[in-house]
Amino acid sequence: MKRHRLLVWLASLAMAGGLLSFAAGQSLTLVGWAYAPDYAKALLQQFTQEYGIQATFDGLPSGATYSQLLATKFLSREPIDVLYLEDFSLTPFIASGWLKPLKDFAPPGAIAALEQQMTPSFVSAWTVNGELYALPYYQTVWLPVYNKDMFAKAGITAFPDTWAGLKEAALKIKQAGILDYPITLPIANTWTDKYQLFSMVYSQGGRMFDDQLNPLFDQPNSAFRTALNWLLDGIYTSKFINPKSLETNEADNWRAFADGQAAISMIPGYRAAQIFDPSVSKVTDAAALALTPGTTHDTVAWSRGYVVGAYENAQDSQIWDLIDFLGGKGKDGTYPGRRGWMQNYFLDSGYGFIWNDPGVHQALTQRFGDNVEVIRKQTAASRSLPQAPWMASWVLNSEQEINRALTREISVDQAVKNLASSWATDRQRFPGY
Amino acid sequence: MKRGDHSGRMFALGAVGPTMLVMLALVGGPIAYSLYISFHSWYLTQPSTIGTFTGLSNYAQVLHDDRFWRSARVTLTFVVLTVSLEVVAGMAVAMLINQVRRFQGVLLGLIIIPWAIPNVVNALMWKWILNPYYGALDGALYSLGIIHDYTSFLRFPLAAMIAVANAQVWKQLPLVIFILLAGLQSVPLEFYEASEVDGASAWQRFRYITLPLVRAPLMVVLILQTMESLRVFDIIWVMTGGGPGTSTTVIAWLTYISAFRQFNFGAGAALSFIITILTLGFTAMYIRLLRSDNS
Repeated sequence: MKRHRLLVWLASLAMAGGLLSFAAGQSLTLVGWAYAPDYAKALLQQFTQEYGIQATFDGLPSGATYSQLLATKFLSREPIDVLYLEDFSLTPFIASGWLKPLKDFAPPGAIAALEQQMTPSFVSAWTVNGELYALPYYQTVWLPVYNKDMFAKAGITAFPDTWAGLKEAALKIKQAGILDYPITLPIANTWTDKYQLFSMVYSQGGRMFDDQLNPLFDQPNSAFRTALNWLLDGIYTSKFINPKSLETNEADNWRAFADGQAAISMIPGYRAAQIFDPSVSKVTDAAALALTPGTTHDTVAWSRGYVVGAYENAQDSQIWDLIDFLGGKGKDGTYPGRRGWMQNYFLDSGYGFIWNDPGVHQALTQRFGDNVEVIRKQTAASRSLPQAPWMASWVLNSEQEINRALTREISVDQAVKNLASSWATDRQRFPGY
Repeated sequence: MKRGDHSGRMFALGAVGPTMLVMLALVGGPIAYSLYISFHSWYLTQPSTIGTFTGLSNYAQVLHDDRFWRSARVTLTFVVLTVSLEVVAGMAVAMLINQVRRFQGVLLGLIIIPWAIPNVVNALMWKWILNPYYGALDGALYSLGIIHDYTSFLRFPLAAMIAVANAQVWKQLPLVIFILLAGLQSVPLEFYEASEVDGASAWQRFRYITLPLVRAPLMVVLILQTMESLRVFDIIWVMTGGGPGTSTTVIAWLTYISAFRQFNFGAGAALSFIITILTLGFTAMYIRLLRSDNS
C-alpha cells in the first residue's frame, strides 16, 4: 500500500511537472538553414530580452535538402511558427497550403510601411496574388569579380562592357601566358549553372518568360541560346573558360578565384565577403567587382525571406513580433535583425536605406572599399525570376538540361526544346494559372 | 502430433510474434502505403487532387518518360560494372586470403575497414580524392609527371561512371570477400588434393571444384550486391548529383528528383516499385542460373 501511494505520488509530480513545462515552455520556433547558427540564436536571445517571449532556432542543412526537409515537416503538420524560405519555393509552398500571408498577423498599416522601404525586386519576388508573404532575410545578386593585377599585366585597362569584350579580355590574358584558362565559373550540375545563364540573358536585355509566363528562351536567336553558345565556345573552342568549371560548384569557385587560379569569375554577392577577407583569400588587394557585361547590365537577384508556417500555434501578435524583429523594424524601429546580418555577415538586407546606416556603411567599406558602390549599382540592376507554382520544379530540372548541353551530351537546340517541353508539361497541372 | 510439439510451436510463435508484428508495422506499413500512393495522384503542390485514384497512370507516366529509359540504361551499366568487379575481385582476394594461414585475422580486420565506413563518408572521401583543385589523385599524377595540370575527372561522363562505380566497389568489396571466403573455407581440401593427383590444372580445379561448391555463397553475393547497386543513391548524391548531364542519373536518383524536387510522390513511389520489380527480376534470374542440380 505504501509503495502504491509512493508510485501515485511520483506519477502526479511528473504530470504536474509536464503540465508546468508545457504551460511555461511554449516558445516560438524559428526554422532555418544552419548558416551562422550562433548568430541566429544570439538574435533570438536579444528578441527574448526585448519582448519577453521565448524563441528557439532549429537549424536544418542548407541547399536542395532544406526545402525537402521542410516538405516532410509540413506533411506531418509540424507547428513551425517562422521559417527561412528560398524565393523559388514560395509559390509551390503556397500551393501546397503550407504558408500564411503576413496580413494575417500584422497590425494595420505595418506591411505597407515596410514595403515602401524594401527593394522592388524583393517585394515582387515575395508577393503572390497581391499578398506579401515574407520579410527579408537577405537578398543577393550574381556579379563578376576580376583580378586587377592580371588585367594590368595583360594590358587591359577596364573591365569589359560586353560578353564579346569579356572573351577578348580572357584571350589576351591567355596569350600573355598569365593563365591557360582565365575564366572559372560554377557551372557544375548544381543551382549555380542556371543563375549564371539567366544573368547572361538578363544582361543582354533578354528575358526568360513574358508577362503571361510563356517561354521566350526557346525563340530562335534568343539571349538564352546566345549565352549557352558563348559558354560552349569558351570551354571547347576558344578555350578561355576552365573546363574544371563543369565540375565546379559555388563553394569551390570562389576559392579558386581567391587562390589566384582565375582572372575572372562570377559570384553571388555574399561571396565577396570571403574574397576580400585576407584570412582566407590571397587576392584581397587584386580583386575587384564589376557590373555584369551586356547592354542593360541586369543580373539575377535572389532572396530569402522569413515566412509564417500554416500550422503555427502561437499567438498572432507574438509571431508578428518575431518576424518583425528579424526582418522588419523591430520594437525600436532600428531593423535589428536586418542591420545585424548586413553589418556582421555582409548579407544584403533587402532594404535599400540600410546601406546608409553608419555602422553598416563602415563595416562594408572596411571590407569591400570602393566595391561597395558596385554591389549597390548591381543590386539596383537586378531582377528575380517570375513566380509560378511549378517554377521551383522547372528551375531544378533546368540544372540537368543546362548541364547536358554544357557537357555536349545534347545540342543547345535539344536542351532548349527539352526545357520548353518540361515547362509546358509542368504548367498543364495548373490550368487556371 | 505430440503435445510437446504443439507447445514448442506455440512457444516459438510467442517468441517471434511481437517482433514480427513490429516489423510488419514499421516495414510492411510504409511499403504498403507507398504502394497505395503509387496508384494515386500525389502532387503536393495540388493538395485538392491528393489521394485521387489514378490506377496505373503514375507507372505509365514514368514508363513514357525518356528520362526513365535513360536512367534505366545508366542503372544497368552501373549494376553490371559494379557487380562483375565485386565478384571477380572478391573471388580473387578471397582465394588469396584462403591460402594465407598466418595473420589471416589481421588481414581480414584490415579488409573490413572500407565496409565499416558510412556510405556518405566513403563518397565524400572519393569526391575529395578526385577534386580538380586539390584532389590527391591529381596530386599524385602531377608529382609523377603524368599530367601537367590538375584535371577535372568528374566532368567526363565515362570517368564519372567509373568513379562512382569504384566508390561503390571499394565500399562493398569487403563483404563480398567475407562471404566468398566462408564458402571457400567450407570446400574440403581432399577434393583439391585428389584433383592434383589426377593432374588437373589450376583453372580446372577452379572451374570444376571451387565454382560449383561456392555456388550458394556466390548467389548470395550476386543478389545482395545487385540489390545494393540498384538502390545506390548516396554515392551519386555526394559525388556527381546525377551528372555530368545525366551520365550518372540512376533510377534511385530519378525517384528522389520526382518525389522531393518535383513534389510528385505518386511518380516517385511508382519508380521505387519499379526498382523493386527489377530487383526481383535479377534475383529470379540468378536463382535460375545458379540453382544446383543433382548432377
